Amino acid sequence: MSDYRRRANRTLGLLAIAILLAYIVPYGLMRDYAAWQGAFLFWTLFGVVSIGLIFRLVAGWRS
Amino acid sequence: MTAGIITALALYALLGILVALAARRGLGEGASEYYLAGRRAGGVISALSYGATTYSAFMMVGLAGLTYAGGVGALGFELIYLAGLGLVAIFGPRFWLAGQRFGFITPAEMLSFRYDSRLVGGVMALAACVFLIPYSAVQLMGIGYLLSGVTDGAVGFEAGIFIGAALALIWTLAAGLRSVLWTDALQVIVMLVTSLLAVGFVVAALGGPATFLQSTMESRGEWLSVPGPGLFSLTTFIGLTLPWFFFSISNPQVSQRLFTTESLGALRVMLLGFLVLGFIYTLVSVLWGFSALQLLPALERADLATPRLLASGAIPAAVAIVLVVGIVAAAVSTVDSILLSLSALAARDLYRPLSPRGGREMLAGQLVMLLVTGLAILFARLQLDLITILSVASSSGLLVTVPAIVGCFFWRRGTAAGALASMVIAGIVVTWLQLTGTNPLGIPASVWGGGLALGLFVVVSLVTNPSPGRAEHFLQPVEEGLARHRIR
Repeated sequence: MSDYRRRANRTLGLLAIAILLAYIVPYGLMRDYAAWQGAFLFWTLFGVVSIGLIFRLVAGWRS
Repeated sequence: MTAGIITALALYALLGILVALAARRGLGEGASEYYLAGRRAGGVISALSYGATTYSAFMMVGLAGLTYAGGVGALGFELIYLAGLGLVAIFGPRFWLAGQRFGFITPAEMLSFRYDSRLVGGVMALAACVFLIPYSAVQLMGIGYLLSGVTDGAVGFEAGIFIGAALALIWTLAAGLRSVLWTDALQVIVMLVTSLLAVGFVVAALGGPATFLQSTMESRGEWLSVPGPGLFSLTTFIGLTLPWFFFSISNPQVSQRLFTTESLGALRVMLLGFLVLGFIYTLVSVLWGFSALQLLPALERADLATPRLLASGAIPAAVAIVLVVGIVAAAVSTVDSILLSLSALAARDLYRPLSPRGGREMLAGQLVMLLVTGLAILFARLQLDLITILSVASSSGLLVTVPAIVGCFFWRRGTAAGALASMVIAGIVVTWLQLTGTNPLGIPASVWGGGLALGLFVVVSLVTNPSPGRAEHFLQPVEEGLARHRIR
């Protein structure tokens, strides 16, 4: 498998994990934790990480 | 404030009409020019327009209302949608390459070709019409609620609906996607700047960021967690997020944009630009909802949070007026793209197969625009329940098209019969579940619809025969293009 495919697969895997965590962490570890540094902070960071991973996915496209 | 709002709306409408008319210059002949702006859209304008199309009255009215009613779950819900844009990184180049090679105008046309059955595209076009009319109606309702709320009924709910519908129609008819792109770019800037300003003023009125954060935690702590005050149980959250996650490929008004950019580089700029814009707008809308909780703690309906907040005096009248225009712009820019997309689907995937000589295709599409606008107005006047739930219901319906779209590129064994069965049967089932409010076994309608569509697509495809050689014919140039551009 070529390098760019391997790299993309890895990034997609990380994105899938991030999306799963976006359900598991707020509804599991942080359930009923009533503070800004709980679900709000987690989902905000999740948003930033997801955008970063999507950026990584498309960064190698050759126009 | 009423006079100010009417004046600002008139100015906005005038400016939009001038921009739309300016876009007519340089408009060439043919369906590709009208519906896809000649496949020459630049990355930045595409990102702005994609943002304006995706984000609608739903954000500053619906999502703010959802935050007001259910708390921080609204943020998770919207950011999971944003993460779903990873699908554009996968499907975007595939749509684009297929569009360049085969000249597709609509996603339904692409499915018809891939599965070698015009019925597949026809059914997809029909599904889009059925499910996107309520979604358009929701946008018009957003305008109606907003204008009647902030003007204390001086501009009535119905007048708001008509204003929104008329603007969307004019801007779409003017020059197709060219006028939509230009007016969208103008509108998304208005949306974003005005919402940022408004949140800034509201948070300042609440004593500044630190006081706002502290007071929210003290008085509305429950809203900062899930399940929170009750709206966002895990089941509801999954039911809401599943269709939203696939929005970027299931909704033709946005997936069609994957055919329109001038290059793959422009497609990348569109995606990344939109992600940044979307992230900011999401945070702003959610913080706006939290601010409403502080300033207006006992509203009878969450949908009223934004109109009442604007009329509360917490932000200067001038800022409130421009924010009203920003929200109207958000709604109109979504409706016009839906009108354009449905018009293309009706002309290319319903009218053309029925009229083999292909005459008057554009006229048929424009007549459909008028028809859809009329139906959206009728639906909006019914004022059905919570605005957000209706939006999601539309996406739940379109979720049934996802297995056929995915199979188009990733499963050579997928057949026309499988695609048809999944869209028709799951479409009927999910519509029935939503109309009757039934959630069998406590599982939301969207999950049933998506699961059933997937199961039917796989099973029916396995027991029927694919069109010989068609998958290869379709996929070979796409796969060659992907390798050439070093895309997974």
